Amino acid sequence: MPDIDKISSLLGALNEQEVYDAIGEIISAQPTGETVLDTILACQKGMEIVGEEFEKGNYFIGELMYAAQIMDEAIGRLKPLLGTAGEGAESGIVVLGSVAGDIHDIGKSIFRSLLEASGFQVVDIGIDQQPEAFVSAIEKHRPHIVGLSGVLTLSIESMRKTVALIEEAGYRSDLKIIIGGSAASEEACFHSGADYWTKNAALGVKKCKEYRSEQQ
Amino acid sequence: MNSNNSIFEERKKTRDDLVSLKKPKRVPVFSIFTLEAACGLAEVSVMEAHYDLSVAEKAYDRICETFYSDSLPVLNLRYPPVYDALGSRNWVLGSNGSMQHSEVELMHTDEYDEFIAGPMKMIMEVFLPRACSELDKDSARAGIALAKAFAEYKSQVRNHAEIYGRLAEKHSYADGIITGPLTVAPFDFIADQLRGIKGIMGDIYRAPEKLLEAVNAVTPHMLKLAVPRGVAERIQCFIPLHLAPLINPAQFDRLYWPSLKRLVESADALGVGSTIFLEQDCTRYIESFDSLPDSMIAWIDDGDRESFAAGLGRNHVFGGFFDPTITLARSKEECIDEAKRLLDTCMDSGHFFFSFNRNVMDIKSIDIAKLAAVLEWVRNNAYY
Amino acid sequence: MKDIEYLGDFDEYMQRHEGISPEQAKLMKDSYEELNDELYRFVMNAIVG
Repeated sequence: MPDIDKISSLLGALNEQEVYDAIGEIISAQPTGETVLDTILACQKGMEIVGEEFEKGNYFIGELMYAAQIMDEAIGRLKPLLGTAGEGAESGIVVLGSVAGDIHDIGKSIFRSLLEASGFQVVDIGIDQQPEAFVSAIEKHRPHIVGLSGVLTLSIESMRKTVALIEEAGYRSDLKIIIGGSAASEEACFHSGADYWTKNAALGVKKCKEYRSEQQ
Repeated sequence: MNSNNSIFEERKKTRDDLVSLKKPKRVPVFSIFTLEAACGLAEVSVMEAHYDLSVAEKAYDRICETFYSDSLPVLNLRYPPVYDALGSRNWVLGSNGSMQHSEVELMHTDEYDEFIAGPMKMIMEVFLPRACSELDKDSARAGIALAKAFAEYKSQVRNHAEIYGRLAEKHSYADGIITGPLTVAPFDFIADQLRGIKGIMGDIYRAPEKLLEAVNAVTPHMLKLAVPRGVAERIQCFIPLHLAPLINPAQFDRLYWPSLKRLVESADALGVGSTIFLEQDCTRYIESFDSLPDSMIAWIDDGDRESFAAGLGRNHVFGGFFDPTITLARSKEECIDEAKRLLDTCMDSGHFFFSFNRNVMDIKSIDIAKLAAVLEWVRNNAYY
Repeated sequence: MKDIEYLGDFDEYMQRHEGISPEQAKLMKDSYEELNDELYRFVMNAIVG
């Protein structure tokens, strides 16, 4: 029986090829759906280790990004074995996007990977998105949380307009709004009317989990 | 031009003293706003300003009239009409009119060897056509596109120089901390422009030796960009760093730093000092930057101010840290207090200049009256 | 820098144009290299911004 727990440590240690080898072993043993889910969970735990190392200051953004790549590849190899069983929204639905005027994508991608690793279903509406696009996505997907990403300071005003439009559309009290990226700050949070701000993707995921516990 | 102008003379002396590492009479103020911020202030369309420079000039003038600065407080480095002519995919106009870098992989993982063997050839034959749809055509049409873009580029550079000259004359500005060309750290060139950030983060782990070879192969190019032909007097080129704070210290030491150090030292030997923008928190690299030539000027986004002042600030000109967006939520007095605290921490060495942590890109990200008040306060009070 | 010669190698150009005096060649070389330098900066601006 392949060692699933080993996968968490391998991913946490960023041993890319060993992660794929271990997953390959599991796949070739014709695993049950439960084993596949356990393996995905092991990958998620591995990402949690990476997040912890980042918070401790041992890992940097580079490690987060590399880990996210390994994670995406690993999950990509496992998901086909699940059919639709792996699509879970138990943790919650997050609509995520970079606000109008901002075409940066990297931080948002890291945050998305970490959210998915924690079991969230993420609807990434992309970069340079007008407030209307966020409201459309909210109407369609009924998320629990909305994430606004912005790297440039010009995004603060876009964040404010987005939150204002969500309020105007009547959705504000149904969800939590968090802002992230280099432009995020206490002032930006205050000015935009968001609920929470962070420059740290791992802390953002923690907050999302807290919100979901409160909401449920 | 400004020879009988006492405001100009005072600013020039202040700046020249600072840059030669003599304690000036006061802390100079170098504000910096982009074209988008200027258009927001002047309430004109930034799209129009990109294509009609008379609109841009009026907008810049409003910035000059509103916010104190000892040097020209406006800067625009990228010209949309040039990228239009090229059909650029890598430099695009955001919906609000600001030019931003789009993540496009210009160099694939298996092209390192070819690049190392001949960077210019790869740039002209492979990367530019990938980056620019109008160059990805038959040679006649690609030639037309290149000619149009080159003509536009030369015209923009000349017209901008004239605008800056007129504004400097009108408002008696002296030089600031950037008086030369833009270049980038060799690692950032490979990472940002060629492989993309996602690509490079994989390369660091999967092919670090190749990456290092590529970084070394492109270093002479970054030096050539930094040093214009026929430089008569000392100038400061501008090196905005990007990935340094995102990679771990061991990777920085091995892959990022050596070529950057060589670039800065070689440029210095050729008469060009480097003004380096340290984006995000580079506190852990203070010692490395302190080892650079005296002509290195550090414009700092974030980090431990005491450490920078005690470390880098003893032997080098440094400035930044002040976040202008605090003016949105705090009172005028609180913002001035913040500036006071910053000055108390940093000005002792005599090597500090007052500036924002980043250029202001959106006029709505700051409170105009409060920020103007802060700048005036620093100008009138930051004396030694 | 050898690599830059991809944009135009003056010596190679001269080989195709005989009978030019040394004084004229010097003027041409300065002008040629000036243009190469400008083109180089433009090309790099297209990549670096």
